[in-house]
Amino acid sequence: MSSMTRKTLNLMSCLVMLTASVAFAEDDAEELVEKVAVRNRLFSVEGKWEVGGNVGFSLLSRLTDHYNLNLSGAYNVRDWFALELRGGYAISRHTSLADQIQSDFFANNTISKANDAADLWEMTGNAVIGARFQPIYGKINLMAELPVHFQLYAWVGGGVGFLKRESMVLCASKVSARECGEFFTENKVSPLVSVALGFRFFVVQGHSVKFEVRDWSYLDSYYIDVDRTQLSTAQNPAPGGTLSPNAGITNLVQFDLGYAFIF
Amino acid sequence: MTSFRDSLLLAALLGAGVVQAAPLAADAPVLTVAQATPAAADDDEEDPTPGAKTTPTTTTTTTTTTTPAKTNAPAATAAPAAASSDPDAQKLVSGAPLYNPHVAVHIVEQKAYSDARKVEVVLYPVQMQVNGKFTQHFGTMGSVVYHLQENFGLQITGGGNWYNVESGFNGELVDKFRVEAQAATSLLWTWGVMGGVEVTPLYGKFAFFEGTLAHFSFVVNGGLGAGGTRHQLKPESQRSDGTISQATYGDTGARFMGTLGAGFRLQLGERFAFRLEVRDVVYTARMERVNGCNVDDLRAMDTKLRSGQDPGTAVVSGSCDRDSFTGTIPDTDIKRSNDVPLALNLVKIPSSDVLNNIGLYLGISFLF
Repeated sequence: MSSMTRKTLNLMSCLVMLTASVAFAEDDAEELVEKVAVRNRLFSVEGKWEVGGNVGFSLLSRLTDHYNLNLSGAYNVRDWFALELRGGYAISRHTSLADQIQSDFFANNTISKANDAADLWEMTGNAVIGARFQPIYGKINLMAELPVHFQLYAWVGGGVGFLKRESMVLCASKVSARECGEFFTENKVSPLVSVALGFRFFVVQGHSVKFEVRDWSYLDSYYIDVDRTQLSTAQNPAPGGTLSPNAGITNLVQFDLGYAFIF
Repeated sequence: MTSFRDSLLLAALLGAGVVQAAPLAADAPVLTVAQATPAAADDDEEDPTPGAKTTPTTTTTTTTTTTPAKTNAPAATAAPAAASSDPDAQKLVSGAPLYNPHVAVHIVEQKAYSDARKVEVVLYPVQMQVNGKFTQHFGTMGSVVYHLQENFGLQITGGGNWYNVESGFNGELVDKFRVEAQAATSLLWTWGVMGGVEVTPLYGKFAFFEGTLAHFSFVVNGGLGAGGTRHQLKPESQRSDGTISQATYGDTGARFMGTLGAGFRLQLGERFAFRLEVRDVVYTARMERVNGCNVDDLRAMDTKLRSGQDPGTAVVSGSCDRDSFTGTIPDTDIKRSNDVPLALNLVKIPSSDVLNNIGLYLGISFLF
């Protein structure tokens, strides 16, 4: 009986060892496969430079609309970190809503005190330098056969922007009582802060395509309490008016499409 | 005889071990060695490192390396001869020499967790409108998805927008320029229920730095349903004594709605997932009734009001909720009758629009 018990114990020990070894083998195999399949990067960018271009479209156009064209250069210090310099020019304009309000308001002489609209500064030239954090590297299979690698990144930076502003309420050159020939315009150079979140996809070595949502932030300013009964001129564009103390910050949110050549 | 029987038992155990190991090969990633294909033309997973892809691929029987692929592949590429003494290079993992940096391996890996025949309950604690030009919405939504297959499921979504107001931009237009959006354009969405389908065309993985691995899928969903709407009648304002006079709203009825969305589902273990989606809820807006009252009803009540009578005494159609225009709003001194001319202004000039409420949905889901 004792011999049988010993034998049973021996057999059970063998069973446990076999099961354990299989489990460990499974863990090791899965870990290794995951490492080879995901962690190892075919598109390693560490120590590489990149140059590229971006086109940005406004996601929500209220009073202004922007199409931003940028060139960029970057150096990937690590696979997960890069420094990038971007610069370009934004084609900007008033939206049709802004134009309509502008002309209707000017024709409406029942309002004696005018307050200009917020978020009316349009970005034109812009240049920013920033840090790109790209710690997430992944892979997907597109259409079952095309392996696509990607990085998810966050971008933070700052720089300068050339801004222009055409007033909605201040007329610099009156044609008639109901028609303004030229509205008051301003230009300034302003500090910019830009943040972005996006993906960049790799299919072949040396090339990447980017999709990102980018915010450009800059200080807003506009006149309030302008006396419309007095004629405004270029020297005195806002008679009786003052700059709003609560102008805040304008956020220009864009969807960017980009391409970068990596070398 | 006993020893022979023991041997048989051990052989049976070993056999059982092999049988147990066999499902491992099936459950584990299916690996095939792509020996004849140049690495550069093949899948990336074939190459443990970029450096390895430039070297000619070799079979496992002819190539040996001294260094595991995961750490020293570039060195092994530079000195393949030196790599010839590593016993790991000959080691097969699930049938493939994954330690060998010079061997191209095509990997088709199974999903860690299957979705087929599972029910997924999703809670979106915060749904935020991101295209709020004239309106702004925040809400809480819920969704139930039954995954008929791995990549296809049926979905029901519902919930409400606990914050639905006209945007600050619309208020600015009113305050500064005496203009506002058309009534139909600034219709507010209060609740909605929609049914539809969800497909998962893409499945992928990513690594955070060089450590944590995560599985995710790209989801696309669409559906049809209905939802409630309302319109602001009186904006919130500040009285001369500094107190706030609250905004008032009129019910504008239920609308047919459609939705289309896309997003990511990040798997958190077998049972939980995190979702980030963008959904566009489309609905038609036509201002015809406020609180069930059409333009004739509102004219009748407005006439009573102008003659100093209670608008509740006006003769109106059966659908019109007269009580919503009589008395005062609880806990305030705001007369509901003040809303009559405001509601009449909304409907006497007919307006219609197709509205897109694009929202960002953040959610967590439970699968069972």
